[in-house]
Amino acid sequence: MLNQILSKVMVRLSSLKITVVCLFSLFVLVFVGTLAQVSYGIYQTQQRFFLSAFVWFDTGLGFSIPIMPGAELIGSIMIINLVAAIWTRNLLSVKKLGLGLMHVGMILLLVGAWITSAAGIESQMAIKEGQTATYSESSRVNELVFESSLNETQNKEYVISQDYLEKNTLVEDIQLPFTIKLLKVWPNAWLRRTSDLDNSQVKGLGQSISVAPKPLATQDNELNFFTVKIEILNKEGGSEGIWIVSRGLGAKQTVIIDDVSYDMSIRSERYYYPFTIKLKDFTHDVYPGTQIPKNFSSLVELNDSETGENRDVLVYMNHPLRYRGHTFFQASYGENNTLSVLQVVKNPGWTLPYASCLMISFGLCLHFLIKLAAFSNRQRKKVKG
Amino acid sequence: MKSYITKQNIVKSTFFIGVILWAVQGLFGAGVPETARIFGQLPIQANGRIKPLDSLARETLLYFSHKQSTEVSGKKMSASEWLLNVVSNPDISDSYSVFKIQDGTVKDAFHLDEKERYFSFNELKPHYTVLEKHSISIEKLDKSQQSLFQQHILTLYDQLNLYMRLQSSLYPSNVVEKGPYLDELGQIFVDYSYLLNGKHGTPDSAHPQSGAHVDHSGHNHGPGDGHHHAETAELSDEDRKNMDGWKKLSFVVNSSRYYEQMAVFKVFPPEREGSKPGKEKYLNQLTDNWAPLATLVTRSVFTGKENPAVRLYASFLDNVYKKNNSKAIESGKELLLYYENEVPKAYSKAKNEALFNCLQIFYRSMVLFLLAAIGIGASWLVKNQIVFWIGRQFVVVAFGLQVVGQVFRMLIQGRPPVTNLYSSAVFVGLVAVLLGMIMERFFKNKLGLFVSAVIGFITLIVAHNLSIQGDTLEMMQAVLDSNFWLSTHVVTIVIGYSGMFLAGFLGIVFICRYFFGRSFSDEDQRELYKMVYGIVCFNLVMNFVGTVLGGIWADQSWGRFWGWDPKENGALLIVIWSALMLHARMAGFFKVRGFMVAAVFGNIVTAMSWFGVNMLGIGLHSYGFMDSAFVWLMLFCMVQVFFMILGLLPSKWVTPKIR
Repeated sequence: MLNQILSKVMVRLSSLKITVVCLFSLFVLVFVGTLAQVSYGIYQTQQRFFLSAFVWFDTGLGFSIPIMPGAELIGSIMIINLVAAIWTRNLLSVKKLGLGLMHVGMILLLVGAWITSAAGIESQMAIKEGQTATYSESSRVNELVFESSLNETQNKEYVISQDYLEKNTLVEDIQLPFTIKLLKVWPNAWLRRTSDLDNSQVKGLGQSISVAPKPLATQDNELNFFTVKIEILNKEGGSEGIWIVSRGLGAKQTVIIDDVSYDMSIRSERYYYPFTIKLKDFTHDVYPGTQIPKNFSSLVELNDSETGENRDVLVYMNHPLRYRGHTFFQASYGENNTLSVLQVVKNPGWTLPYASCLMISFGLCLHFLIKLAAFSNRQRKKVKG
Repeated sequence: MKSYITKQNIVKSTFFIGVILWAVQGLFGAGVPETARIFGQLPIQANGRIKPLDSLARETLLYFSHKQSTEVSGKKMSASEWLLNVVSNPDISDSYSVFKIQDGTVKDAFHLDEKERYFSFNELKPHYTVLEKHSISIEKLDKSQQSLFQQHILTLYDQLNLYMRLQSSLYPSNVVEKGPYLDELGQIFVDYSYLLNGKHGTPDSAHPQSGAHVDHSGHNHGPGDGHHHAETAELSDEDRKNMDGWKKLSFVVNSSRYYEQMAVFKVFPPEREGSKPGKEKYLNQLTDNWAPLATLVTRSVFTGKENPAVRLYASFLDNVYKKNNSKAIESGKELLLYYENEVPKAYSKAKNEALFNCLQIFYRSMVLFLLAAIGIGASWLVKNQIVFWIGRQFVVVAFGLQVVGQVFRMLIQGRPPVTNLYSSAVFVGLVAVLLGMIMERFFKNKLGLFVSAVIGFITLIVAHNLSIQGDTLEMMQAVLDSNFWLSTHVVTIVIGYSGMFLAGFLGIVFICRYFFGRSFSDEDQRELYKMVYGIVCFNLVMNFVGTVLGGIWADQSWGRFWGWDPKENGALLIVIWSALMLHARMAGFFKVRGFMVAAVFGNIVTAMSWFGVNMLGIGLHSYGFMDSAFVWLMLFCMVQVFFMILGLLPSKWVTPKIR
């Protein structure tokens, strides 16, 4: 009985109609998601169309409605549809080896895409010639940081991520020597210096600054001025004051709690590494007499005190440095060819697309070659007969 | 035994040989004067690569007039001959009508003749200052804010500047006879070289670059000895001569700097410092920075050693100017010989490319494809086997030519077949024709050949229009500089494009036959359906593998397999569409006709991902976006939509016919 129900459900789930609807939705999504990049830029479009379950449309009345399924939803339905199809159509039999391979590969590909979007991290490491970098920075996400100096050479940093700040109203932790109450958060903001503001309760730079919300940046070279209005409470619960901290404010602001001074600011989210990378030389060649770039390359020294590894690596186009789960690519340059920007990618699922695509490609070739052979046999007989 | 020497076979082979001879007529150098032919073969460096002057002449003329040759008083003039006149006899070349202006508003703005399409430099020169003033203000605008009119103004301004720079790329355009000019400069060395040795004149170590030396030459006067003009009055004859020398030398340096900046192309590789016999004389004749002629001239003034190329160029141009044809050919050949001896690699590279240019392979196969399509199309109407046979020969020769051209290009560039948009168009045609010919072998219903001739023709037209944008053998951007990925990812993707167009055009044939054909039996329908189905399967494989290879390339160079960027999405759309067609067919959504309509829609998807995504970056809202390529793309899509609608009409609307 249960078996019957299960197989009925499976047949329903494996319906080719679902497949066609999914493929069609994906087609429309990709098409619209490509056009949308003209006005929203690549990053926002990715978030809206391809890294979400639904594409939301802001009605302008204070609420949003979903207008089409996002890639996450379509992908999930496709996985279910594929699993059911493999089950009910017996695609894993030897006779249907090609079909089976390509559809299993398809599941792997979708799972790999999900892992990458969930666990992959991309950041940038900008190094000047002769300097050494220990961390890379996110180009999109920010963090709130409180720095206090332990002694002349060492700093202690308390870091709260943008994601946490956007989702919570109170930041409390045993390690944190104070509590932060979030009064307001602006993902992107206009900052304007004014004198006639009733901001007397705000301390520091924020006193003379008015903040207004601004749509998120669409272009790659634009920054979001992530801004927060916070109240800092000491461990006894007494207020130490209210501050406005923003990515748009260059200077750090200081708060003193229990005779310890903390410099607070908002900066790009940082990823620290247990190894260092020193830029020894950056070169940028062009074709003679033109501005057409011929090659970019960074000669870097990799130094890992944990493993004792110390070597020189040349990072250039199509030749990244792969080390301890991270990959460093030549991404950009600046300041008269003395600054090199490396793209740092951590993607635990990076092997999945390779494996899955190999399976799909192999399956496709196998399946269609067998079909082609059968067809050409028939055709030859037909021409002869 | 059957004899092969029948009357019919003789006629057939004569025809075949005739077509081939027509195709390779460029080998015999027809219609090009010997001087221009020699000039066209000379190696130069421009756009970062070594090429013959002929290539530069063609791409410049294409840029100016959208044609590879021009017309002067009713006679055709080749690009090389035109460029030779530009550098040897500016007065005459100023009157050639080579600047194409189509925009009526531009003509209005400069009070040009409405009916004319081509204008000469002489006609446009009076408007140059106005043009310059406008262009400078337009250039400040963002490209997306410029109107079509403003962009045409900018283009015209750029064309006139390029023209003027070309005139002075060898010798300054105001120098009528180059030989005497060189003698005059040589005399400066004879008269004043002692200044450069520092033994005479000034005891200060002399550098011609520094204008301060003229003042220093008054060294024998104490400091603060009255006013400057008082000093000059007291100069000795020797001092005066020295001053004169410095003036002349600094003039040479300054004008040389100016003309070095002006030069569009460079003529010779610099010699390696302190080169000894037996060692390589030049660092790398192909990849090193070459020097413009102006630099070589200046160097000879300061060292007294004249680079032979300088004098040979001068006598060649002078003889051309004086119309001493035989002497011009003689000195031209000498110049070529000099290049052959000094820089053999660059010489042979340029020579091969010049040969490739004058063969005009892709133009000729374009004509043959057109004739083939007409021939095969006509064979259905007149039901004549001979007409079909002729059409088939045209396809075969055109395809052969295209293969030769493709291989030639690859050898010249040392690259896989597809390196830019232009070559992708050529290659799409090539592969589509090949696939069509394979189809013909399987089905023998003339359709494969017909469609491949049509696609071959259209893609070559597209390629021709893309070539107007500049050098078609340009150097590769750093990120693309990988022969491995170019030959795997790019080639597979482009093969996928060919398949999509082949399926789409067969779909159009189906729809047309369904609605207009007199006898389209069920069997014929099924056969055509099988053809399209087979190609769609092939497309899914090719486009999927190609897209995946692109993902792997992206992962290797940027660390992300997929980034949803427009070009990637374009490729993905093709894959999704192919997969959708196959699944919808199995699900029963698409019957025969629906499948054909879907195949026609594949044309739109492919054209969009091939060209459409390249236009996205310009900005959707600007007038600039409506450039001619976009108009053509939209027109293409509209034609496809027309056929799709036709294919979706209820079948009862079809006029009753014998089934």
